[in-house]
Amino acid sequence: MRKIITFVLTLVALIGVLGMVLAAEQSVATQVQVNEYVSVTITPCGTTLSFGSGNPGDYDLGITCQSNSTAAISIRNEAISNKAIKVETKGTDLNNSGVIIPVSNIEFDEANSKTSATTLSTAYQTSTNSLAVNSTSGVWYWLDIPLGKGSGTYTTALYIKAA
Amino acid sequence: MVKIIIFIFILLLISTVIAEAPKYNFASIQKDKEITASPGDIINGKVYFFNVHGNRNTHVKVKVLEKPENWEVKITPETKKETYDVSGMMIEVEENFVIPPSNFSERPIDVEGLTAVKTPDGYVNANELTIMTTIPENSKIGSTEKIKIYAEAFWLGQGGSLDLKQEREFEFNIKILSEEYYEKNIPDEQEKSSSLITGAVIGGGTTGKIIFAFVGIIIILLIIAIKKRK
Repeated sequence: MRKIITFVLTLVALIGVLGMVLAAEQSVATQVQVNEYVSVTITPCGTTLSFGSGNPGDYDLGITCQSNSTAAISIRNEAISNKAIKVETKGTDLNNSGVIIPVSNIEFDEANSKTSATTLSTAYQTSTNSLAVNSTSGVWYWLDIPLGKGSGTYTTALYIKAA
Repeated sequence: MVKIIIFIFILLLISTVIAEAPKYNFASIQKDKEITASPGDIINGKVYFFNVHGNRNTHVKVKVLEKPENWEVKITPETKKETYDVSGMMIEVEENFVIPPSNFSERPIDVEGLTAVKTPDGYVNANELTIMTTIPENSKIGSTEKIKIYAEAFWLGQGGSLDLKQEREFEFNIKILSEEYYEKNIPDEQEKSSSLITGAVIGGGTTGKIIFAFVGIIIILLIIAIKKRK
């Protein structure tokens, strides 16, 4: 009888120890949020950006300060950024006191290739899929002036979005 | 002669500054993209804007692009109309704030209206945007709601036929949690039906199994003991 009681007590003690070990294995959920830094600098090729002057029907008018080696604008994801960015671009119609040249008359390309250029629109389109931190990409623009457009100065806004 | 040389030097210096190609910088730091809150709480999301890589004032207009229905979201500073004299031209704009070009500094520098923010490159004086949100009392516990802020950066006096602008969106995900902590095990359908058949009380989890095993062993040992006594 004594042996049995001793055995039972030993068993209880062993289970107790097991329980304590199980209880000691605890975990606490924790997390950290790293703040998001984005710094994008746009540098135009000149002090102003303009397609210059042209005649109705002229096509492929480039920004006056752009050349084969110089993009109309350079977009830089600065070194302080901590994420690669997707660069998107859109524009507004060219406007001269209510007279419009649709924005679809402008084309852009990031490799200065007129053949692979994309038609600009009022909705965002990707110009660079992933611009790494501390790197720069360039964009070239061209304009077609539709026939029958009256004289005057037409202006537009170009939007660059870092996503 | 010396005076003329100094004058020419100053003139050259001024012309260099004037001719400097514009650099339009728009820099931001978004804090706490994921926020936890309880119904009735008022929370403040923060975005800091600065301009260390540019050489023109960056004007910024901000608005709420997306928020849950019936949520109150207030942006500070608010949008206001301002008039600027840009090289002799009067320009009226709508903006929330303007960020002047600045530099990183080793120590925080006090500038009225700006907040010194620590960055990996040093301190920078930034414009602080606060997005104050009141969580409605009837918000669903466990849900995650989204607030999206839109910011447009623009620069005055660009002059050409193309004006450059930058846009950026800032998303805050707000997880709604209960203010009081409690934990209740809800048996699933399978557990409910098995408990009806066997009539056993299901404790659930590892602890319950250990207790059952322990009680079982004790009972078996007691039976053995009683039998031996007899």
